Amino acid sequence: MKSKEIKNNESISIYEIPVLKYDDFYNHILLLFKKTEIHCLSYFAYFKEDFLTFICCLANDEEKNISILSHEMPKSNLQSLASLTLKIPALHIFEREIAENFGIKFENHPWLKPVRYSFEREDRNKTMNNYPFFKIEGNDTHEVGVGPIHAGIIEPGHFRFSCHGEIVHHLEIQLGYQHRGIEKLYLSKPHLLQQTILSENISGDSAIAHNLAFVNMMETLYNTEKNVSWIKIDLYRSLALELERIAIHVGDLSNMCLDVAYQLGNAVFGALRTPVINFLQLWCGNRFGKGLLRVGYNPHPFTKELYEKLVIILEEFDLKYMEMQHRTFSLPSVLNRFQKCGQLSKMQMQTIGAVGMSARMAGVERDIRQSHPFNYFQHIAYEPVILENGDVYARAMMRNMEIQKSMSYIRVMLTQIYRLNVEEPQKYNPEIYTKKMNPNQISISLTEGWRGEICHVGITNEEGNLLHYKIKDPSMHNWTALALALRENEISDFPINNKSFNLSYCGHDL
Amino acid sequence: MIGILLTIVSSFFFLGIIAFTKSITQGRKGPGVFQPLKDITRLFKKGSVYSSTTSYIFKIAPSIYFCSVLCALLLVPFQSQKALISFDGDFIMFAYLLALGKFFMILSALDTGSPFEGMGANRESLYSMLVEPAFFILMGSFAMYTGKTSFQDIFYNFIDFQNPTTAFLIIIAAYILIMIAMIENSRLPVDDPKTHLELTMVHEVMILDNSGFDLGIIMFTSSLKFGMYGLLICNLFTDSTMNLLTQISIFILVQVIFAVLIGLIESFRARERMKKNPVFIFTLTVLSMMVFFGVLLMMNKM
Amino acid sequence: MILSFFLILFVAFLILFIVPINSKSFVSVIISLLLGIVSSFFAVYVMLNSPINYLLDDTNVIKTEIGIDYLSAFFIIIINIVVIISSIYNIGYNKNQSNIGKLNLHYACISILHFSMLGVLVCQSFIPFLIFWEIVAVSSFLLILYESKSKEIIKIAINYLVQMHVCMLFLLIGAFILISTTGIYTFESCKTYFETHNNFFLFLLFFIGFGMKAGFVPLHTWLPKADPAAPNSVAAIMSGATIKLGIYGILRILIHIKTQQYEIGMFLVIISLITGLFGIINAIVQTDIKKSLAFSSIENIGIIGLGLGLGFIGIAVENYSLAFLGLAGSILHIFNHAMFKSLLFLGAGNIYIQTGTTNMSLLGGILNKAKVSGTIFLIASLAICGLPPFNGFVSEFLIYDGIIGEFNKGNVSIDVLLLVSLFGISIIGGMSIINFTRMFGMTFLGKRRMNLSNSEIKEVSPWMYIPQIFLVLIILSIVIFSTYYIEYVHLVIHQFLPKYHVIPSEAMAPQPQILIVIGILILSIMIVSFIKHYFSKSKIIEFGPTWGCGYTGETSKMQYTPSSFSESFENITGQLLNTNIKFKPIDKLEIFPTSRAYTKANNDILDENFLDPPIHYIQKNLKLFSIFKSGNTQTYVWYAFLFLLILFILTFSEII
Repeated sequence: MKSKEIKNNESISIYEIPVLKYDDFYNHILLLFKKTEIHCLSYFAYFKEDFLTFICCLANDEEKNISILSHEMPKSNLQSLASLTLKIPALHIFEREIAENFGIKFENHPWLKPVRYSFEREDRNKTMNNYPFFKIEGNDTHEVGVGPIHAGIIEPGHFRFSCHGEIVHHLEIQLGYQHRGIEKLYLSKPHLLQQTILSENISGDSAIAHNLAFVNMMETLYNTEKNVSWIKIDLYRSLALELERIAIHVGDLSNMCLDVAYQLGNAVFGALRTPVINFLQLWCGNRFGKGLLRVGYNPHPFTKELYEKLVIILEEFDLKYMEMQHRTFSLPSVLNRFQKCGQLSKMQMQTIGAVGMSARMAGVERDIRQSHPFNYFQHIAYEPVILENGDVYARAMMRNMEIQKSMSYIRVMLTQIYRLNVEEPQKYNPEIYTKKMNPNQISISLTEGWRGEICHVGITNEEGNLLHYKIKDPSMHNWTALALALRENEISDFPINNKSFNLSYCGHDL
Repeated sequence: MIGILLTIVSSFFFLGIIAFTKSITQGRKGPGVFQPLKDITRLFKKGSVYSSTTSYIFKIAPSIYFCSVLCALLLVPFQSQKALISFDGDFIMFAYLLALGKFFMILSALDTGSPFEGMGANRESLYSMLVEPAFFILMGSFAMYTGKTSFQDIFYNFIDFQNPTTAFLIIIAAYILIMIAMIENSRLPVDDPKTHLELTMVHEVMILDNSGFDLGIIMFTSSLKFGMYGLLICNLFTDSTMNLLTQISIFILVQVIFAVLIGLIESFRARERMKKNPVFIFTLTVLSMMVFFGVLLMMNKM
Repeated sequence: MILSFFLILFVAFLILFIVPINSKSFVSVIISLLLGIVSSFFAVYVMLNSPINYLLDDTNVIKTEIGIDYLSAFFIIIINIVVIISSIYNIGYNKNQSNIGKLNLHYACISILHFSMLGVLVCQSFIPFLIFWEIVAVSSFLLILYESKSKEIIKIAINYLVQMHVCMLFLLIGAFILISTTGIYTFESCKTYFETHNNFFLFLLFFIGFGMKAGFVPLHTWLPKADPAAPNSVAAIMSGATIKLGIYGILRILIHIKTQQYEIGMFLVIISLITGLFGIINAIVQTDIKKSLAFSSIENIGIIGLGLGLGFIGIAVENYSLAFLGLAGSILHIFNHAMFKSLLFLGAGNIYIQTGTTNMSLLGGILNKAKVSGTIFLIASLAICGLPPFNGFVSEFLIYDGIIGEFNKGNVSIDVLLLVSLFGISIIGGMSIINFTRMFGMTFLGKRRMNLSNSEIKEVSPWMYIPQIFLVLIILSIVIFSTYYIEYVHLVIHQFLPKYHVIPSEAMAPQPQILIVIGILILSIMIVSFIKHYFSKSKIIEFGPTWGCGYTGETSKMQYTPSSFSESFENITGQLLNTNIKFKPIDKLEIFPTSRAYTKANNDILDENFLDPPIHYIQKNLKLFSIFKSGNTQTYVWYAFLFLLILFILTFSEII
């Protein structure tokens, strides 16, 4: 047996993972990737005793399981490895990350460039200023460098366009300015509450989604007892996740309207975001849902008042939103800018292993809510929205349809909450902060944030503390999609393309 | 003289009215009508930062830009009120003076050596090339219709609302002039000054490195240009037989409608794709050719 | 007296060969000054008094008639200014040239070129005219070869020579027809011929001959090749003066054509618009300054021709204000173009001396290092764009004024023609702004794009910029004293009218008012600058890098390139261009692109598809031309001598 299959939010002993020789490891990954429903969740390395262990987690969307396989290399004898990226471009970022952190050279890697700020990497001579950008030779093309300081209020990142006139021939994105060493912080901050707060701050716009992944996984690793009332916790958590989705999507629609200079859309969508996030504040005291989720208990009960308030908000939102989306998506000047702009094919998205809405807008069916359900989605059969066009229009439309879909699911969940006749889950559970995790375990937790799949992997040591913690934000995969979308497009269409993806800088930089 | 004074005064409000209209349509309270003026005076009070790459071109260009528009304004009459200077073919000089200002703004953008500003300069030069024939052919058609070749004489002999064909031509002409003003000032649908994104703008990106007095004078020139085109359009709709008060009220009305119109256009539509701008601008030339042939028809030459 | 003058000239010419290398340029200046002062004296005399005509010897078979009328006088002055200025410029430009043989040939050829150009202008009979015409061609051919480092330049020079002889051929045929039908050996024969023969064909024949020299499309293809190949001072002479001889030839013929002026005018307007548009469109996409300037010369020939054509239509329909405005604009533009184009070529020479290249893709940021050269180039650029307050505006204004003033007078076909002209000239104006903002911006502003030599850019020597400043002064004088200039231009125009006609009042351009506006403009710029100075006195003025979004790494490639600057323009005008892009776009599934290069070349679409094939054919198949492949200058001198000898013998035996 070359790999171990587990489910989402399941934990197994690390010794159960088959350790392969690199050749086998290499070939088996190639073999698995022959199927289109396989995509890489995470591929990382960590020091375990005297070995550098490589762990690769691949998700099978059809069979709804996750294959884990590993390879070990003695710490004293680090060798260079054959690069998988040549055959599977989707793995490029993971190999680059491993190469950067451990100095492992991947032979024939076509794009072995730094991933992040050189704060803790192996070779610190490679600074932000000597990043090896791709250059088109000749005196005719020019380069445009945008960032790290941007005109809009966005995070730092450097975009390098190789252009001729208005046409972009190549875009290279240099990130890493935001690198904070979050994964290391998990190990140095042993208290569970500290870790929870860290999870909320991985990426500000996905506070709930990231925290949900963390909380779910910790509950697995802590072996939390789940009683009957747990269904309510699942409901609340899923509800919060969908609310976050609506808030961010509608905000993004507003920003996309701004970038095509459609003032009305910008103003109305912008205003529509407010009641949603205000509701989250009402619920938990924070507009981004920080503090809403905790491991093992539910600190903010969903009261009757909240329920009624949300019903009213939804109604108003629905009315205004439906009118505005109709206007926007039928306005010729807006469609003119959206359609055929930054178009990506299904093939491209599959090749780079895109996830989430960026994958679905190009026809790649990839939604964790359906393929690896978590929380309340385990109880219903979620049907993802799939679009085919792959252009800015598809990305805007994807947001629009997901908002509508989320609204309908929220309604379902609200009725469930209303109907369920179970007692409120615990408001506080101090025990969880004194317990130890199961030793020598590995657990994978997936959630579908608004951007796409979020994958957290936790590994515990013999004392039941975290040995390694690995986070993967969907942006890790999807930044490449933005770079591809700009090829042979006009440079003036970059802002609208960028907004249409709205990828996370800090989620990537960690 | 009155015309020039009125234009300068109206240019104080113009950008304010646009911003005000936009905020009303969005349901916001919005800044006061005087806000742009306040911004400009604030800029006058500030110091400047110059790029060390730049040369003297960068420093004098804003002044030349402003003066070229000011001198062009001298040539525009206010219906019965004569232009300060008027001669045969003065609208040629008018266009060339504006071109001079633009020439220097393009150079000053290239002077910084920034790819953004190069991009803006490239777009600006292309669009002003495309818009040039539209203005000339429009004025040429007027010249053909009236047999006169100066702004003053053309507008003096122009108005004839009784004739529906003339009225129609005047509307088209006004449309062309409005669009020329929008392109010259880099407004929607060609450009959107409010995005503040380096990659998508035309005019704003050219002045990315300007600051202090220079930036203030550029912004003031921008509103002055609007006022000037407003004055031109106003000339289309006034008659020399009207008394001065009526003319002034028509002027104010035209300016306000013009500004509100821009505000409305900017609220309710998105901007064009950059690639489509040349075609859009060139359509104006085609339209002005239609005016030309319309005039030919009216003069029974065809 | 005249004989002693020629003796002095000849002695000076011989001295040129024997003086030490550093003094050669001065001797060359003295020769051109001698030629210039004497010929200008006659020209000014003619301008102030009346034309002179001097029949050398009527019994001689060559039948030489020397005469200077207003037209000749006008061109004599242009050519003298351009050649004298370029000769003085040469003192600084050729300072580092040490090849004595080359320099001898160079200076000798400049003197011969100057002499023969003057000869073309004063000879009123065909045969000496054509002989001088030939000498002009051969001497400029040798001048192009001056910097012949590569085979490419030899090829271009030969191409030039071949095309000049094709043009010669047309002129010979034309002259032959005229002489054989009328028996008159002077240009007067045209008059007789056209009175009896109502024939457009002969005009066309001469137009092809002269138009090839002038650079009318599609006969222009030698120009954008020869100008960049020639040294800058020579290019200045060629673009400033030599191609004007083509215009002179056309005008010389047109003087005598008093019939079918309407058709000829129409023809001229249409071909000129095509020339102007084609020239400027191609100018914008070039990355070499000299090549772009050469195409811009073609554009200006278009403007000149447009004015000419409109003027002739005016004469034909007896609309004299159109006639006067069109012709005045056109003829003044000849003068203007000679001034600013030679200034621009000399400016390109400065750039070449400073950086060793004239490729805009490698240049940038010269203005801060060389303010005088930069400012001179800026003034010339503004002038050639026709922007106030410089001289291009004066002549273009006349043409515009002619067009718009005549709209409601003529019939519908003239109106449409005027509409097309208005469209053409205004869009040409807009394109010139693209072209020269691009050229000036890419060369003088921003940062240096690529430094090949690593040497710091320095201001050129005063020997180079002082003659340029002199040209700037002439340019300014045309603006300030425009009424006087136009008055003299009117003298020339009267030659074209069937009978003396009082200048209509509409045709007197409103120069005083224009001057007032220009005055106000300059004054207001000074006032605003003063206010700005006053305002910023108490403020903090800081200096820092250009805004680059806070990126701290390497930014050398982050600047617009000339090629990028013209990209969107190429997209619009693509059909008219022959753009050759070598670039394999990155494939959709090529996630991580492999290294690649982007190169672009813009060739002349007409050259490759229209004129090149036959000329290549001639070059390939005629054994005669095989001697050129040697690249040996002496061979060419012998060839020139041989050709002249043949021409001479043919004349003597009265074959032509």
